[in-house]
Amino acid sequence: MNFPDCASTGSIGCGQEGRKAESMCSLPKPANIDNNRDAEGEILQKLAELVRQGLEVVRRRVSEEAEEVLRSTKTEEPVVGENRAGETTTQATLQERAKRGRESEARGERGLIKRTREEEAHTDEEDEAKPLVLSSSGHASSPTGRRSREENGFKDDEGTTDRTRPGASNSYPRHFTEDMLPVGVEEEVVGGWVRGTIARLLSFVGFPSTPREAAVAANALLDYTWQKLNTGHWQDVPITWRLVFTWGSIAVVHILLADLQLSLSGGANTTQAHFSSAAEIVRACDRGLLMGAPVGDNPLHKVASLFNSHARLSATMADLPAEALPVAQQDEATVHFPLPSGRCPPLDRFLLNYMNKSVPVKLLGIVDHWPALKMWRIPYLRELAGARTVPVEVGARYTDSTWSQTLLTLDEYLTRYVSQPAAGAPTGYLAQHQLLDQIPELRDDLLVPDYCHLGEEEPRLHAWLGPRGTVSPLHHDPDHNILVQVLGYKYIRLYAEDQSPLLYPHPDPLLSNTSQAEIEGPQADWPLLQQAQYHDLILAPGESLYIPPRYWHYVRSLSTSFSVSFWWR
Amino acid sequence: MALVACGLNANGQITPAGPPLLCCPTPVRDKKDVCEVHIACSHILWKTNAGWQITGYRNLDYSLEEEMAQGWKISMSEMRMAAINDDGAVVLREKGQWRKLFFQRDTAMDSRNLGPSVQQVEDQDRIAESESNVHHTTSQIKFSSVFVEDNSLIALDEDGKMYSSGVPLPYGGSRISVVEVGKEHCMALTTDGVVLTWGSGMRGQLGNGELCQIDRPEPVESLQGITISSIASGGWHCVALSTSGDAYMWGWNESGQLGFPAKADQEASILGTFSHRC
Repeated sequence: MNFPDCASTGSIGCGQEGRKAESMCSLPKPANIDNNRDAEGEILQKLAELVRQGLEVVRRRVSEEAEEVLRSTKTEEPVVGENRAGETTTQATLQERAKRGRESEARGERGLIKRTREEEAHTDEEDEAKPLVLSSSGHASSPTGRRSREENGFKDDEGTTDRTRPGASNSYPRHFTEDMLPVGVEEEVVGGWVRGTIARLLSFVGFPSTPREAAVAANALLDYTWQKLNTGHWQDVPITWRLVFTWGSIAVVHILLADLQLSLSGGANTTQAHFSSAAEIVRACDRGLLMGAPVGDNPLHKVASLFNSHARLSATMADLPAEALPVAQQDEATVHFPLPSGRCPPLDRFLLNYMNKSVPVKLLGIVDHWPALKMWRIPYLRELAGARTVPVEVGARYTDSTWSQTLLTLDEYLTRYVSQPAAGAPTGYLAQHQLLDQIPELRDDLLVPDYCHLGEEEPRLHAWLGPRGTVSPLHHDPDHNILVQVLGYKYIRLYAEDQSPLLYPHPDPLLSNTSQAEIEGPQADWPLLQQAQYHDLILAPGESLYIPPRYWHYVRSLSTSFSVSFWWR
Repeated sequence: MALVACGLNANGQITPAGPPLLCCPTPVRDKKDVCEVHIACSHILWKTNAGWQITGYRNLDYSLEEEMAQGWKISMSEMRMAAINDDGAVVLREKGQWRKLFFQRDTAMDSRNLGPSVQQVEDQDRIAESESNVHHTTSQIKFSSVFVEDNSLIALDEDGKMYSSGVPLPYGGSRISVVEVGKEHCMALTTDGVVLTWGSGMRGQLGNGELCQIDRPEPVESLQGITISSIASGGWHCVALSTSGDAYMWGWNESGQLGFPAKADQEASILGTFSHRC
């Protein structure tokens, strides 16, 4: 790291002292005369504004979480420090030893971090230019409230100091203290080190810079938690670990934002380096979103979309003017047994004639008013989400042994697998991904069809984005499905549940809902299949298909294609 | 003989006053005559001639070193520590105390689920404890070593027989010399140099060409005829070293742990983007 303003301090190690010195002696950037530099300066000014917004989003959300934790613990009896009947001697001796140990720890190993944090708190308070806003509890803020909270609340005493202190709710932003844990994180599951680290990291949110030790600890925490998330089946991973990953990612993003703010005001790094930092922030957000637990008002969404544009500038992308052209059907498909279609059937007809009778139908006109039909083009997707990380399935079919999943930015995926696929390269499909949860702005471009609310549960949305020639092998799903074609064309074939014996289902229990047959492969290889009855159709932009539960379906894209599916039960 | 270390030092586990990350091998000077080291994520256990010492995060356990004897055999993971004490019994460190684990010689007659290596130890041990209280004439099993991960524990007795969840593991009669425990699988090496694997195989860590799970230790067929002298296990991969000096590796390669190039686009570790200076 370079700190040209602080060369006089002579510190090469650039530990905490170096960074503190930089924040105190950094000067505003001198005015530029060069025109190019002006444009660049504007971009960087805009970036600095986004950093300020991002920090505010994260701090506010962490403060809300702290409020929530305090609210839920106020209703519990304070346990520590009370003399309960029936406590065993081992409990008492353990607490005694713990008390001794905590005192020596405060003097020893943790003293360094504590001291530094308090130093920074006092230094940066004067620098905090942004006026504090009204907190969610409706109390106006005051700087003095913050100082008194620091003096009283930050020390790690045993007992109940922060929980029951009157007037505690008057200070904003509410900070995490080291005895607090985000809602849903269970100490017994995650262990003491994870618990202590996540609490300490969240307690730093709200300060313009964090000790260097915190950044290392945050990354170590995420690495360790990542191992837990990869142990066993994904659906069996305790939600506690996923929550730790979410809050750990929020802490890392906060550190990255604070670092970027410092380096932007310092003026030492190149513009390209700042764009790389923006890309790193987007990557960290997406990692937290992809592997973490769903958390209300997750700040990672907002921060990722704030930095998408600047992040894209860090990668050189070839201009592909063909992407702006309308998408035409490129591949051939013959429809032999057309499926009947209906134009906006009334809800009760749909429920009685199709859902209750397990009859598929092509639906026309049900999404005519979707802005997505006009807006979803490749250039628009790039501008909105080009730097976002998405999971891509590589390989012809998910039943192939060479099939795999990889993570790419949307820009990389669109260039490499959709618009300019290399000859002979395997197909890449952005399939069955909750892209609309990851990028909520896309959800604003569509409306969930009313038919999807006819079940008992809320519908789940998935996005399917890919080049021509993607194939989903014949399979069935347990839920009702409406597949809406937004961009491009798809060929779909449907077999009823009673045709199953003719469809070569996989013997492996993991794949028993999938057929082994190649639907459009050599007929001689799959003799039984040729006797099975089916319907087929080509889905064009604006058209939809209702697929009943356990109805077999096979899909092949005939052009670049973007579809949205709604699953409900 | 010099001792060097590198890696995470955020809790002061390598050197108490050093930077949070040591990316180059750094001499460890404040500990003398170190003869054994056990490493977890947040802490390190050292054995010197003067006794045991733990550095880094302590989890409020301040009497640990006083309650360990020099001759104990230790196994440690981030959240769990087990040992063979001077009496040859298996003890587990819990809430500031060493708790003795109970084992029985015979597999229970009802179908006890010995499943994959990722299993809860506590419940099964309490069951074993209450059952062994009934058998007054149970002779004490003497153990030689124990191997732990956060969610599993395998004990090896003096006859080279493996135990898990309080009962022997079902496999052929070969004596086991060492066991290695991964996140979801286990490896064992017999005294004849045969490698056994069991547990979840979803990432190819069983080395048998399949991706399914096996519940009882099975020899790795493709190593048949090769005498293995030592084994090691990572979270989801395995290494076996033959007597002729060849290394065989199998399992997950998502960050290049098998020595092959990993997928180009994947970041090996979140830590990789952190700029540092030692």
